[in-house]
Amino acid sequence: MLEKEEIKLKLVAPLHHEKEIDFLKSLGVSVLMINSDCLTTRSSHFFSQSQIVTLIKKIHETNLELYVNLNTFLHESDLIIAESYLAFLKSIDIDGIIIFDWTYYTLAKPLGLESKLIYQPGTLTTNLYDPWFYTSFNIKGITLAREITLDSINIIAQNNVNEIELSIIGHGVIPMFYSRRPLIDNYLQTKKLNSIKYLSETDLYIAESTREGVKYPIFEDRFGTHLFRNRYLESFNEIQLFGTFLSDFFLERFMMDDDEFFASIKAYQNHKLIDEFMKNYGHKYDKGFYYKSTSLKLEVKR
Amino acid sequence: MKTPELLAPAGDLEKLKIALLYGADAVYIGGTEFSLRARASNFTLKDIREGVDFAHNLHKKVYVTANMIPHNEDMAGLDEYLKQLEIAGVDAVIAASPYIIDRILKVTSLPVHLSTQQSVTNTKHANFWFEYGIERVVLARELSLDEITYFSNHAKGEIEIFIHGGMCVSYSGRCTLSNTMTSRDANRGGCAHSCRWFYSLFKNDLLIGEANSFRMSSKDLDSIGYLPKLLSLNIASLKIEGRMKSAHYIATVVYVYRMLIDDYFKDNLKSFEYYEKEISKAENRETSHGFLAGITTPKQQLYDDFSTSPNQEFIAIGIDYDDQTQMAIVEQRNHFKPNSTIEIISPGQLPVLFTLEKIMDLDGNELDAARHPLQKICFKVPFRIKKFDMIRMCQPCQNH
Repeated sequence: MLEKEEIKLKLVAPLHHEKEIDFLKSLGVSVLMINSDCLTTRSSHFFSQSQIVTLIKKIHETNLELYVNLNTFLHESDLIIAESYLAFLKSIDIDGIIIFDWTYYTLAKPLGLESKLIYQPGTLTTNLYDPWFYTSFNIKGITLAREITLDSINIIAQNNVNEIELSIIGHGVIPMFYSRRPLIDNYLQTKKLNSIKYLSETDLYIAESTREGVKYPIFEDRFGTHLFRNRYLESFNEIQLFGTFLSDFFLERFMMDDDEFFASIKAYQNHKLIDEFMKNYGHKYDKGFYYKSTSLKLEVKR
Repeated sequence: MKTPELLAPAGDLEKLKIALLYGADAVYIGGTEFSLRARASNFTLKDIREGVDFAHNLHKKVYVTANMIPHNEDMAGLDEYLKQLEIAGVDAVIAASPYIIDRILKVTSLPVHLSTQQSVTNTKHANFWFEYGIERVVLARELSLDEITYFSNHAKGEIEIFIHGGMCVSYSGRCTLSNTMTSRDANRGGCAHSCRWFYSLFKNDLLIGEANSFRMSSKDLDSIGYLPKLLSLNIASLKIEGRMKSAHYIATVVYVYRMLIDDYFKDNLKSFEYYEKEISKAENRETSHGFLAGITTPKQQLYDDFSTSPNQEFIAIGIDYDDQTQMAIVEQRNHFKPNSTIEIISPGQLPVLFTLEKIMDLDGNELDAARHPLQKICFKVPFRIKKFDMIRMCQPCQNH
């Protein structure tokens, strides 16, 4: 749990509706995160540019910050859109831009916007050298990889003597892969199951033949297919440690109902609510890779 | 127009030699450290030195992969390893991690090739790395022919593309499926290929289709039909995937692409069916063109067939030949009998059909079958069989 007086990191929460701003602030959220309507995948709530113009004014008046999540890979034909979108974000004085593809750096730098970028590749940022590397590009921050242990996070953070902000995605559904292939669509075509609704639907999952009862959520939109871990991640105990050396703690809201999401934020702020949260939702959660070291093993049984 | 490099994988020294002899201009290999494909037979420094000497004697190149994404505990010893690679004479190092890239640039003068693990999908990203000091960028496998064409006109450095072999179904470097399902780290060489397993698809707990029929597995990439166009572009290197593939597979795939490239530049192309037929003699997975025609369709996925068998069985590899007695010595790789029709492929030559008569062991004892793996077998044949020639069972086809 996070004691109020020790809070150093900011809770970053996805915003789904403008009317949630005050409520999320009352829960202790410092930063709101929204998805763009053109460069975000793996989401069910998007905001247009005109909506964002209205939103950011209100958010700043509420003394909160606003991040925009741009989590698609950029192919050549996307570059003009991305460049234009960054120019828009500069014009509204955005507080942070979460980027999945390093290409955004090359587009942001000529605009003088690189100091707003938070590189969040999901994987790749796995060792204590990475903060040094990305500091040299004067970006705002990097989000550490989802597959490293708590010890690794600790070591990376303790060695971060740079200006760069470190963050983690500490709560919610965790992606396992992102494919450009329309895997569900291709399967339904193959099986001639054309009436099944699948695009941007959040009620699909897959099960592996030898893992009875284990469900991996799967999601497809126009950017490709995403597969997720069977358990959500929670960090109720670990956030105490993170509070001393991380800047941002991202909560994932995708594939989660509002009650559960709000309850999770409350539990991060008030340790007395953790038991109730775990009683209601604990069966869906685990600790991810915090205490599970992955490695190269030549023989592992499926 | 410059002929692009044909780049082949090599899991061990024998495969390295075979790939180069069969027409690869360069090979990429994994050392015992800092490399993905940990289950491939990785090279010790001594092996690397021998491989480099072999390649350089043929005026060819050796690249070493150090393309893992290291965690804190994997970082020690890198500088010394890189210096040893430089002393061994390797021609470049393939890397993905900023840490490894920076150390290569700092402690050696070796060129760096950016691994496809960084999933570079546009020229802005590629040009960032070129300006950073990278010599070559291996492009993401998710690119169409049109996108590759654009790259070839706008990239500020060398580009390399995959033309044949296995494909990750995820964008490379961003997958933790294996980590989650087997605790094996895909970005540190432990990928368990969990994407190729059997799954069932559900919607609201309702099974969609049949149980265990949802497959994410991709057919292997095969670019033969696209190669003439690719050869007309400014691409530095055409890469074959498969450091864990057999010597026969490597020899066959390299042999066919070498033939195709040479035929193209001699303006003497055969039909695509000819090259496809030759390559199918060693393929054990179905193939398709990946993303070359754009976003993939069901035809690029494997659903009902997990694998397919090569249509011609690899039975032996050439060892030696006596011109006076016309006796060939080969090493057995699969069971075969006398009176079989066999096909021999040899670097730079068209396949040759031949019907075996008697087969013998090295002591001259006539055998009713070659039963024992790696056993040396002799037979009489009216043309030379050279070391590393590939010998396989054959049914005559339209290519003969």
